[in-house]
Amino acid sequence: MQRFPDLRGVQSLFWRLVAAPEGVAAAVGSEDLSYLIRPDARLGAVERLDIYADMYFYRLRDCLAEDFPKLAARVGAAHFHNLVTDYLLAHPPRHFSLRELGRALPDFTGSHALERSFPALADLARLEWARVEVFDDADAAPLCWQRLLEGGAAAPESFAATLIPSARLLRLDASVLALWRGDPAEPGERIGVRVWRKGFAVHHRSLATDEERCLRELAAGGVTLARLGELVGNAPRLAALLDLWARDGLIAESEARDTPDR
Amino acid sequence: MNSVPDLGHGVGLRREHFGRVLEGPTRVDWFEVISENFMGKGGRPLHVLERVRRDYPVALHGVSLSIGSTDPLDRDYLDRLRELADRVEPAWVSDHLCWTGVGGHNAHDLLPLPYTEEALEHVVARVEAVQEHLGRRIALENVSTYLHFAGSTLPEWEFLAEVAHRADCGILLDVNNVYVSAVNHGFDPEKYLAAVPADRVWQVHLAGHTDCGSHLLDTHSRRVCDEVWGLYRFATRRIGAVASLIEWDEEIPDWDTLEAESLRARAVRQEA
Ligand SMILES: [Fe+2]
Repeated sequence: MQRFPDLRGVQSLFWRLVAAPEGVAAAVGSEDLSYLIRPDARLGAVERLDIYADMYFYRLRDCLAEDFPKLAARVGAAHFHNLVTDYLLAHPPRHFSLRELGRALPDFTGSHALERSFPALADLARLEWARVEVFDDADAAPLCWQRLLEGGAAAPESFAATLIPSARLLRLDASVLALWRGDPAEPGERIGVRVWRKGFAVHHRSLATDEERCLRELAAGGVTLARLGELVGNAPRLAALLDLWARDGLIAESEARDTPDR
Repeated sequence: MNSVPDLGHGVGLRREHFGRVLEGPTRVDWFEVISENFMGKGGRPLHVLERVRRDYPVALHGVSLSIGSTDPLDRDYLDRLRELADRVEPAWVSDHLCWTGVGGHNAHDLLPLPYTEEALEHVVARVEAVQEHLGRRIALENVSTYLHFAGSTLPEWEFLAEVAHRADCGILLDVNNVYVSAVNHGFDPEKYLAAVPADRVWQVHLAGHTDCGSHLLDTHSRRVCDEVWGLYRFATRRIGAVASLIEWDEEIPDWDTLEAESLRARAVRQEA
């Protein structure tokens, strides 16, 4: 009989068997594990390892289902189970936090066969992941309309703003917004979408072209009101956008910086 | 003599109860939170934790320390834990006597150790390194296990006591885990509890489990069972008044049901 391995050996072997995509029994094959695990009358070594294998898989699957509820609902339980199996094989969890588990799932979904049966699936996952990310991103004090009037109107060349940390700008298939609500939709053009947290609530909404242009520059930080005026091209429209951003708590005051194309 | 305060009877703070707890008042004495859930940069979890901390003692309970792994300690994790502890000023910081991954992987599960002299020395050295890094002592919790390694040379209770003694750390005694492992491996849970060094126990966990027929599974999905209440009474007579905490993580009940479990722990301890 084989000797009991050292701690490193025990852990490596345990891991290989418990995370085996083909299942513990297939991974063990005909090997006698009694040198490793003490069997008893109730359960053998494979069955005992199976308890851990199940806990490993189902905990991770449930975590992904919680972070990607719309994706899970769109493909249904069986497809989602298979997607997770394939994903964990390609991207076994490495981070100490379960919060990071789904980081690579949107891109992985894009390369998965399911994307052909469910168009825009990866984009739906991108939207869901952005919502996970902003949920506990850093807090910021958003710019209110009054401060914009006082500071901004007085010094448009030096008063600068930035996108808040808990906001993301995405480009997604337009059908994703309907799919997220659970409505049927055909794939369409790609549009800009912003995801952000206001207070503790996470929101998303589509972007007009000029708004997207402004927000992409604001994301780099330190954009003056004068520069925003150039980007938008007319004052009433800029005032409307600033009003919207102030109400959504989307931008914060920042130091001005040199804009790239001036 | 025990070196930490008796915080009374608490519950694990879960997001389903954030609103109710902030609304207050509650009849629980303290809260335990899962450290990793509050390592974000902002947002609701940290806000809630800081509000709760104003009114209650809080302990940080981690699941990713992986003290028994043969991978190097995760310095990034330890930095984040230290940062969180500096922010929250918890009554104490705890994690589990187990490993959670190897080869850079993380199972996000509490995996069993062989109870050998090699594992003992390995864990003790790492607890010392962690305590050094955090600038505080930690408590380690016994976990539920579903297999027994053929190479184990010590019973679990001796292994736990030896770790605590050699590394000079605390013990978070999970009475339900003792019961689950006792049934799964066929040992006497009272023998386990009798062997735990009373002066090292900082805290007790109480939770529910699921009977799967061939074994018990530590699910935290229901009320504490009568056998575990009996063992809690037995443990209390031995170790005296230490903080108790109800864990409930699956099929989370309404606040009143959870609070009632904590009040029951208070009653059982008073009667003991
Ligand atoms: Fe526990």
